[in-house]
This record gives sequence, structure tokens and C-alpha cells, in this order.
Amino acid sequence: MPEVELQIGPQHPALKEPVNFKVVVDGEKIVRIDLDISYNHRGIEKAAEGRDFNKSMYLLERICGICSHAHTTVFSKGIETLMNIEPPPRGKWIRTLVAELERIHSHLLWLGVAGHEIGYNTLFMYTWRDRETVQNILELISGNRVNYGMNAIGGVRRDLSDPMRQKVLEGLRMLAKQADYYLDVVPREETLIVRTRGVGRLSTDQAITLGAVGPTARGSNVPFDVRRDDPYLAYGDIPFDVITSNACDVFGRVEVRVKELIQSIQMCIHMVENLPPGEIAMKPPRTAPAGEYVSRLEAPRGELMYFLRTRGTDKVDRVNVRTPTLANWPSVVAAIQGHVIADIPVVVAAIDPCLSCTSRMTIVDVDRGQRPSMSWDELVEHGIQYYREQEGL
Amino acid sequence: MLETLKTGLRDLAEEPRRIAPRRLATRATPEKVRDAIRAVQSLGCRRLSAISAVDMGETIDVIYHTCAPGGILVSIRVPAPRKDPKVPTVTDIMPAASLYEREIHDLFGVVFVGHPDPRRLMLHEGWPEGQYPLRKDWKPAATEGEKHA
Repeated sequence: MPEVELQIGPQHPALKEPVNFKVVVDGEKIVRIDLDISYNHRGIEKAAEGRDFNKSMYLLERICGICSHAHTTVFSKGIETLMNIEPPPRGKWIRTLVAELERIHSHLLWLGVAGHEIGYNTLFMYTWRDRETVQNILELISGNRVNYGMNAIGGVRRDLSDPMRQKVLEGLRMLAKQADYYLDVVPREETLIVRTRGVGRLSTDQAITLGAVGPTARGSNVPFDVRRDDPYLAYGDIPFDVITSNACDVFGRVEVRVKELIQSIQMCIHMVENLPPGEIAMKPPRTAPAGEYVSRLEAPRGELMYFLRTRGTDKVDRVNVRTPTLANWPSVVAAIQGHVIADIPVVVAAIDPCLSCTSRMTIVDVDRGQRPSMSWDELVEHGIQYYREQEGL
Repeated sequence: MLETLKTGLRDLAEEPRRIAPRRLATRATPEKVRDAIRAVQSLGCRRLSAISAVDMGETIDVIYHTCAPGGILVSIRVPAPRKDPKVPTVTDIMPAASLYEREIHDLFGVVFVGHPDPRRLMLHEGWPEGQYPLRKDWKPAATEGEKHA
């Protein structure tokens, strides 16, 4: 059978940034996959060079809508290190609290998307309903549901009052109950087992050499978590474990995220209950001395890294952003090989890519030069049908 | 880790320094970068976290950030002359480097000699050749605004 090239993307409403995959298939089987991520270069790194630190914070917060707090945290942490200042403990704890709430919201969102891609829409409905709770908590704390604007160089911009803490705790306790329910139900659900067990295999060695980060790496039994390995903010003072799974497939990535969800909720409860008293921010100097620093943290999707260079002014000379998704692409390319077309949605979704594509996919028949089109919805439907027929679900 | 690096990189790079907690840095020449990367890899830095580039004026510095055990980041800085910035690829040693090298080629014009797939990555296909937007002397060309109805 001749090789056929499938075009997926660059537009797709379920994901958040545009990307294009050229998938070479032999029948149903994927031979190789090629990647084009050139659709969304916005020149933010260059733009940040022309703005002072405070303005850069607003710019960098808008790199990503889901992990906006991670971007400002890693930037402010880097600039604070270069300025040789440290935010007061309460400021650090509130920053950490918002970071963990962001992880809860991101993981719930991801669980829903993953459920949807495999035709398990009940999970999608449940998790997105619960996600409203954490979004309401974030709105209560910061005033915003996304792009919280909590960070400033030297601390955070809003405090938590005592009545607010009670409300946050109520929401978190409800979420804790739901998360336990997911851990009980999700790994036993047949749809999920059939669609994720043995799918998107990535061995431990592969995960390390391809530079995988976050739940993608931990799902392949790589115990790499910046929160523990390179502690920052309040992570040195809060009890938590690094969660790994030895499944080394999409199931492992689901397992890690569900367990991390439970753990993040416990961490948030601990932080709200034990919030240290005092100031939330300090007044930073206007400029940072000349220096270079590699700032990194564990964003919901994995290690987020900023290379920062300052030259004694109030601007950065260079900021290099390495997002977790960029680090995880080589793993997708490796994990998808040898699988069938029906597995594309869930293997791509398993790294929780920060990208978007429209519902358009073109199948190019090399021999006849025809370009029949297939939407992402049809691709998802094809995947569900394929497994229904194969497995009798 | 610093001591291990000092002995491991003796002839390959400058003496490593500790620049911040859990951050080690060293410099190597483009000729020796492959050996230096192999050396740190054998010392336990199995994961390449990222490659950054900075326009320093005379040179364009390519910086390899590798992860050592214990949450330590080892950064190897390789200055490439601005007039003819060429650095050998390390993609065959650390496959994770592939996308980062392509990104730096797009944005800074550093040529990674021997890269198996040196196509454009970040910039769109209509971007003019030879324009490297993250170099300091690059300014966006004045565009004539399209008139809207």
C-alpha cells in the first residue's frame, strides 16, 4: 500500500495555539510525523526587550491563558534573584497558592479535553463543572478568571482576608471530594483503559533523551519535578510527593495528572490554613544589576524556563522563553509512531499541548493527488468508531 | 558537582563557576562544544533543558542548559563570531536539541553545521531570508498600513 500524507491543523478549536502535523501513514498505521509550529510567533521576546520589568510582566502574562501565573512567577523570580531581593513569606505563599490553584484548573481542563477526545464525555462534563469552582476561587482571590495579574516584582498585589480564606477552603474541600471520586472511577473506566493503555508509549530512556518534562516525563517514570529538585517560593516548606507512574503510556499521563490534582488540592488547603502573617510585597529597586540567571519552575505542563540577562537598567537585555510544550514535542513525535490514525487525538492531547487548530484535516492521496478533507471532529469520531468496532465497546 | 565538572571538563572548557544556587556555568569554543556536551552527559547531565542565544555584539552566544542530578543546571556558553556564526550541531548526541537549534537558526541566524533537518521552525514561510529578528541591530521594516474601508 502506498504511503499517504495526512495534514492535521493548523487550526483546531479544542486546542489553544495553531500547529500543523504532516502524518505519513501506511494504511491505518503511522509511519512518521512531521511538525510545523510556525503559525504563532508573536515576537514577545523582542517586545519584552523594549519594556521595563513591570510592563514586561503584563506582556509575559499573556503568553499563555492557562498558565499565565507560571509565566509571571518565573519572570519575577528571575528578576528578584538578579536584584538580590526576596518577597516576604506571606507574598511567597500567596504566589504558591495561586500557582497550585492554576495547576488544579489546568489539570481539570486537561482531563475534560482528554475525556472528550476518546468519546468519554461524561468525564468532560464533570471536570469542567468542577473547574468552575476553582475558577471562582481564583476570581475571588485575584478578581480575574484568567490572567490573574497577581504577581509584581517583590511580591503579590492582593491579600487574602479571613472570610475569603473560609470561602476558599469550602471550595477546596468540595474539590477534594470530587478528585477522590475521579481517582476511584477514572482508572477503572473501560473506555479510558482501552483507549489509553499501551497507547503513545514513551520509555523512561526516551523521555529523558528527548527532554520530556512535566506529567509527560513523570508518566514515563522519570521522577523530575522542579518543585522538589530546584525548590522555589514556598515549596520547600509544604509537604508533597513527586508523583510518577511506570505505565509509560497515555494511561500513565492520566494517572499522574489525577493524582497531582488530589495533591495540589491538599497543598492548597495546607497553604490557606497555614498562611504566614505579615506583608505581601516589598518595594523593589527600579533597576537590576548586570547579570544572567536561568529561572525555572514547574508549570502545570512541566518545566518552564526563562533565560534572563540584565545590564543594570530597568529592562531585560534578553529574555528567552522555553515553554514545556516545546520541550514535549519530540516525545509526541516518538510516541505516536507505530500507532493508528485513531490514536492521534489522544496522544497529541496527552502532553496537554498549548496550541490550537481548526476543525480541518486534509487527507492527501499521493497517487491520485486528491485532497479530501476531514475535520478534527470527524477524526475524533473516526477514533471512537474504530475502537468501537475493534474492541466491541 | 562543581568539582566533578572541573575535572571532567579540564581541556574542553573554561573552569566552571557557580553563579547562583544550583546554577553552574562554563564557556567552550565552537570546536570543542560537542566534546564538552559529551563530557557533561557522561557526568550525569542526561537531559538537555533548553538552548538559549544572546546577541552580545561581537559574538552571538549559544548557551546549552543541561540538567544535572540534584536540580543543578549546567550552562555551557559557546560564543560564535557574529560575521560567520557557525556551531556544530549536538542533535546526534542529545536529540532534544533539534527543535532548539532550529529555533535559534530562525531568530539569530546561527548555522548549526550538520543538523539533520535545518528547516525553519518558528517564523512563517513568507519571512524574508537573512533577517534575524532577535539580533540587536534588527528593526522591523516600516510597513505601509493597509487602508481599511
